[in-house]
Amino acid sequence: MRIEDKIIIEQIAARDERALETLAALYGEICRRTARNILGSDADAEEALNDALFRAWNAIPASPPAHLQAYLITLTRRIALDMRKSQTRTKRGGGIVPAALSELEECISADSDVEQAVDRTLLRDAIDRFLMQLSTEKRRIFIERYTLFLRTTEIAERHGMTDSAVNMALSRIRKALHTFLEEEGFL
Amino acid sequence: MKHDDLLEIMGEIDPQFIEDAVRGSRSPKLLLRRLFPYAGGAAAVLILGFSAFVIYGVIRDGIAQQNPPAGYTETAASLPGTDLTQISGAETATASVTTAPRAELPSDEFVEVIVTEPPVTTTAMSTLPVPADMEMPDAALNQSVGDRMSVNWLSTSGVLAVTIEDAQYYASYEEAGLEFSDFTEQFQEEQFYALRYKQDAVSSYTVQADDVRKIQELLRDQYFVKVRVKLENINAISSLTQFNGIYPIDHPDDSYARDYDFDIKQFCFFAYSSDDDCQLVCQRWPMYFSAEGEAYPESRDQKRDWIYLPPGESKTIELGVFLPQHLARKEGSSLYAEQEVAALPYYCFGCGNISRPFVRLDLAEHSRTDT
Repeated sequence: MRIEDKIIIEQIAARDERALETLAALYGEICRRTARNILGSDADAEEALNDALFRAWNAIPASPPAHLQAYLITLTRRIALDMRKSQTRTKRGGGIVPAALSELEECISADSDVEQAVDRTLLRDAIDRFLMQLSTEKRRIFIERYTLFLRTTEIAERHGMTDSAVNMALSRIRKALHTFLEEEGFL
Repeated sequence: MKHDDLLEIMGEIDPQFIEDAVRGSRSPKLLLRRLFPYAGGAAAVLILGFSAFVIYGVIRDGIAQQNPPAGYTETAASLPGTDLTQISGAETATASVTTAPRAELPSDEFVEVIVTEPPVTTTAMSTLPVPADMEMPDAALNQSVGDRMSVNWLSTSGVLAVTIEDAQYYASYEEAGLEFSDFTEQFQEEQFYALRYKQDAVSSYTVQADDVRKIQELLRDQYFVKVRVKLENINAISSLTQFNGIYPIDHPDDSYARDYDFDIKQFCFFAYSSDDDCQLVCQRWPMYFSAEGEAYPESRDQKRDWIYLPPGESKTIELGVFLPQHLARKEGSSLYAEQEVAALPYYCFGCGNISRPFVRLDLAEHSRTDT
């Protein structure tokens, strides 16, 4: 654990509110970006982050995370996805999430009966194993797209690649994931 | 299983993978790509171009051999074994022009292609500094003059190495030659977020002149510590912004950023409040001094400009930090901070706390004694 994470967790445990400020300053940017790409709104993204900070404030004393940054990103992402669900009950929204969903159709069909029985934990572990097999760069690209919901242009910039190269890489990884899940018996 | 579920599962993967992806790559390969995003294509075009040129040369030579130019003779082609000094002037000229270049040109061009590429890679890799102390050890919270630490948590876009080159303290900011300036009037009409992580924490500016005087009084009981630090961007390639370089962390309360220019002899004071108990917060930015006499103690944008460091470069700045005298301990010629003090101190009227964690400077043996 990084020293700053350790300090923040200790501060939260001591109910020192400045820890939240530091937490937001250190990791807020990527959380905001993820939430913004899910929700399409700066204000909603800010709300998701605030909510995540609030939940972290309440949860960390009882169960401090081993990876604070990933923890905050995961919280924000989950909250943003929940917010998006409630928003799209009345209005179908566009943006990155539908695009990402559509892309992932290549990996898992929503109509498959077999998938109903799939244990989420098993699938998550399988995806972890798949990600472990990938090269570091491919793994990062995949996570940036489907975990952090970054745009392909953003991913291209981070990796010094062209947009089309990122799309090509994502396409190949999705096919590889599909094959992997077939081999593992998930499909 | 629905696709939504898969998306959710993608959020539950190994946190180490997520942190690794957020942190991004700092590999030489990526640096090359960033520097030369189309290097692959360009290299391909270059090689193809040269190949085409060489093939053209071979074909041209083939045609030339089939259709020898005027003056070309079989006798001239066999000249390497001949003593040129014994040949007439006209024959010598014919031999040098028609035989030697045609035999050596293709291999020269190939050599040129091969030599052009590797130095680019080699140079880029060799200019990537990879220090031994990349990770900040736990013990680094105590810093002395001469210490070098890696503080990647100060920056959202890279790893910053900080070397404390010198530290001096003064009995007061006035002794350090500074003047107190109150900028609160300039914020009177503004509403801004006091603490953005709290929703509905919008507060109006309520600090009164008495509060300002109170803080001014309080500052009289504080040492003013001037620290000279060397900042090095040791391997920053922005992972979260479009810029390459190092910036200080963005403070969440950034809505008050203004473009004020301060004289180097002044330091700014402004404050804001919220309605919560113990949340009347007064904030002073640290003072950054440049060699040119510029000071950027307040404006976030200006501070960014000032602190910006391209990868591999370094700057030396002076940083002013207040250290409450009751938290300081003097031993002989040394001054110690009994508690952690920081570059971005806060003062809270409710609890009187004026410290922030993270940076503690041990000034032992390096401080001024004439206080």
